[in-house]
Amino acid sequence: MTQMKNKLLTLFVILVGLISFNWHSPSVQAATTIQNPSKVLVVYDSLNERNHRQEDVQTLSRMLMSMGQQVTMMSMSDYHAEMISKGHYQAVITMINWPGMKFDNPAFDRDRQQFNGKKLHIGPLMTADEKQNFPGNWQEINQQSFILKGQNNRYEQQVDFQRQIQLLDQVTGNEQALSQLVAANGTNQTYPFGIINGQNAYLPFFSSQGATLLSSIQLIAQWLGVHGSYVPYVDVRDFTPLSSFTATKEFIKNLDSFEGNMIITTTSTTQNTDTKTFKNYLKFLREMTRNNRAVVYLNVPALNGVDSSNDDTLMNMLTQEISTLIENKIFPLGISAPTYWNFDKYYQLNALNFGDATLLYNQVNNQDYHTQTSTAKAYQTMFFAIPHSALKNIKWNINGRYTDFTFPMPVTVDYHFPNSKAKAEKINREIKALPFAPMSQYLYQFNTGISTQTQNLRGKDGVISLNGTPVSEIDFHQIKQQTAGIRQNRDQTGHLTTKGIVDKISNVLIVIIVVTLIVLFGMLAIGRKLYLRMFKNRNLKRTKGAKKK
Amino acid sequence: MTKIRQKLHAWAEPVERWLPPVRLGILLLALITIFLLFVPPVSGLVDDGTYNLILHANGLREFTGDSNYYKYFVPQFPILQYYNPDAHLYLSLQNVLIQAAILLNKIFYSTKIFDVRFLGAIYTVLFLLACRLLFKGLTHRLTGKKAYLIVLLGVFFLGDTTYTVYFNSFYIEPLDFIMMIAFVGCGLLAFQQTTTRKILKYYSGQVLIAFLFLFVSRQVAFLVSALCISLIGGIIFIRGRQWKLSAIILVIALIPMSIFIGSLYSNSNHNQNVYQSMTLGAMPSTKNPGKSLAEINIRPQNEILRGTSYDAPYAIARSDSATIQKGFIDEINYAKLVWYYGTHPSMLSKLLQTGLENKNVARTKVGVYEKGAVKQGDEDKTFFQWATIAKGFILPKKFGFYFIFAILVISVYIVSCVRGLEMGSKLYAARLWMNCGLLLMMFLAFISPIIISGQTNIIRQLTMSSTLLDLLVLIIISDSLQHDIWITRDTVLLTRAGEDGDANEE
Repeated sequence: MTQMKNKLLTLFVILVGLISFNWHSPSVQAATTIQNPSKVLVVYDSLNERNHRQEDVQTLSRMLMSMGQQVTMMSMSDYHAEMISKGHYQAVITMINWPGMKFDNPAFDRDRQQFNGKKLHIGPLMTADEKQNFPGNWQEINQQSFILKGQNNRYEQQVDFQRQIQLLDQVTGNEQALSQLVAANGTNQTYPFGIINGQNAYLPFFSSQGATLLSSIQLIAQWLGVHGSYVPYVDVRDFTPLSSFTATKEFIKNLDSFEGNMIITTTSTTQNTDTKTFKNYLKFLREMTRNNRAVVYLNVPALNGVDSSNDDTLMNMLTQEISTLIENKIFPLGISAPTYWNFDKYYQLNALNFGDATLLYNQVNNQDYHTQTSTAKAYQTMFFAIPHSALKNIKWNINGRYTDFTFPMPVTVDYHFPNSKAKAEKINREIKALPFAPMSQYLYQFNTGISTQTQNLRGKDGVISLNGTPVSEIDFHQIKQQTAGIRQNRDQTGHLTTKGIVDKISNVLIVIIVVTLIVLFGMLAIGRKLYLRMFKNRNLKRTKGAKKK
Repeated sequence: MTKIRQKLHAWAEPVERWLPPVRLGILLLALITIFLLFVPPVSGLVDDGTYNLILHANGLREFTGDSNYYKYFVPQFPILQYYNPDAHLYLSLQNVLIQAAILLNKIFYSTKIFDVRFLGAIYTVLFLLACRLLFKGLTHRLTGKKAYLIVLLGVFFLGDTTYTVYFNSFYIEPLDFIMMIAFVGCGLLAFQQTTTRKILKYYSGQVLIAFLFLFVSRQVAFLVSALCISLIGGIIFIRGRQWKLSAIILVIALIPMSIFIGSLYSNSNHNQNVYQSMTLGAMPSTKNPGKSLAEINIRPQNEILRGTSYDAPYAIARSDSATIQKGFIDEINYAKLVWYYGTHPSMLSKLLQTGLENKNVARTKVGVYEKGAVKQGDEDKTFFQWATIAKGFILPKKFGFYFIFAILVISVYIVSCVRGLEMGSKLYAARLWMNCGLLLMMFLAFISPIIISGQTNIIRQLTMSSTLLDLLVLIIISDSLQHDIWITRDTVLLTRAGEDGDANEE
């Protein structure tokens, strides 16, 4: 027995030795975010929750983060004088969501006018100084509906009816416009949708859906100087041990016929990992990632309110989850979280920093901030997740099967993990009908990974490696044994010594009581006999209540 | 030798005159409780997150200025000065007392900040009154050393600071505690009286308390039906047809009232209770939770939720998400749970075992100081918790012990009941019913919170059961000291002495 223990101990020591020779930087923070990112300040007039504009604000922030920008977001009322100059921003975006309220901040207007960097105005209510940056005639167009046509007419969609909109009537000089707005009233009058003139740009309206989203992405990337050509991947979000297993089986079946790599995000747990459900969950994940046909991203835990303590609970939880997944041959290469987590210092430090690849998604309700901040971090690789419903009504003009439209930054078409067999089939049909060519080179195209203090996973050049060694060459059975050994040693220390004595006392007491009861009933029986005997023998003197005890 | 004896006698005489047993008992209790609750450093209980309903309904607010609010006992609560959106003062006995305390607070202290010690003071006064009733009942035919003994035992059990520390808090446990003591006290006194009028006086006190229990909390309201069994004892004892009839009607009326009023209580914690009845109740006690879930038609995948609480900060899915609500909570109902426990009695006993272990463990961490009062903030006064500590060691952790205890009590009292009836005394029959009712309450008060909400707040919810155990032990000891258990002709004659005092109604 001790021999076995010694063996395991030696192996453990060797492993520790190996790890300590790994020159990879243990500091989780340094490697994940972009060094010296470009800084963007977004000032919006209002979240306009009544008209659900918070979605648009969150989408804009995610978009900028995916383009490698360090985003600072604030409302106009929170802006104080000289914030632009003090913050050393390279670009400033003004976003008007509620023109009817005409929110205003003169300090912001002044600072923005003096600012020499890139400026973008989204929405109506452009100020005079902003308009001056664009040569040409500004027209105010009322009560008009338009069709938005993408660059080179690759896509088009009818946009929402516009009550009042200001547009240049044509592009002059060095101005650029990528998409066009065509009046839908039969005149076919064309206006540029969005315009760039050097450092300045203008978007008449923004939306997190449809052709407007695509055109906005193009314009903003061009304006910021972000160039790239990415075909979207597909992501399926939030597979958990509670996901319906029948739906999962159907989903995996359909995975066989999909030619691309999927990104699957999963919320794991540290409790009840010995149950059959958890083992099935791991089995499914392994099945999904077979031959690296899908890549796993670890989703942060759901929050029921905020844990306001400043301790390591969250970090330890994620570390343990990662460790359990790795032991079971599942290799997450990124972290997935709601957008607001990137606007929170505590969550940035304790969760998002695990990986240099993130996938953020919108969540406008139930935001449980711990330490809210207005500046988000820019991670090395951040996928911009577009909900599949946002692409629904776009009309693609394609030659052949797939469009040649590409995005300037990494993008995914986002689905939620199905909770029924029917939904799984539906997702399968929709994915296969996407106008984007399936991308199957994730591990070659991207260099992504996560690391804890002792384990470093990296996916690059087609291979996933753990602490530098390709995972195909590692014996996970050994690792599992060692970690099980460590956990076992930990459990044995909490042993109560008084337990034995107390148990003995309880037993003794029970015996005493049982004996008392027996004696009691015995005496009752005897007493009754004695009592009755009095009346049986009529010769004796009759005495009422003869002496009983 | 005799000289010492004489000296003792001389000394004992004024003690007996100025400090009869009951007065001594009350005095000791007052000293202990006042020292605990009012002498700095002050003890009280920490808000475990459930205060807000009660606070807001009474026009108070949590003291959010103190970041230690959830860690230490913070006795100050701001009084809402302006519009209070939550001010639906629902009918509850506790709210009445809190309002009285706020009134006193406004007169003597401040109109802006409420100090919970005023509530503690009101509870203490009620506590002392209830204990006076109880001690009088316990020492009825006892004199001298025996009387002092039973009173000191009473102080030892009931003055235990794990009970009285609740007075400086907004939990409903202190109300349960005090009212139970008063109930038993009234019962004991009712059976000792000789004139119908006096019997009725104390008996109606008992019925009134049972009625007031309906307005304390949801759990207790339902338990009043069990309490009615205790009241049957009084019905047997009362003489006079018209009184008997009215008593019967009242007691029978209490049962449907208890069910009706119990269900009127808003069950705001319903989802949490249902969730935790499984995750902290049924599931931890089995080795294969998935299989157990499948047996009662709940998705076996939910076994991954074993041991989690409803408001745990980090979870697989939000507790109000469809995954949890539709996939788990909606599938649970108490019928399934009861059927499950019925078919797996070993699981139930395991669950009760864990409850037991928590119940009798020396709870030295429950009451906490205000921060800064002592070097280490959450130390507390462990003085006078010896009763709890002793119980923790002596009482067996096996649930079966309580069954045997109940059988013992019932059998002993049945014997005295039968004998008493043979000799024409109804007293012992009445006693039997009362003790049976208390036993039933003890069991139900123990089992039902465990079934209904698993192991949530189990220490708090078991206070009622613990109190009843203490009271029953006191009753038995008092009866045995009075030689009232194994009765003889003489005892019966003694108890019936003066019964004919009915003729001159006084």
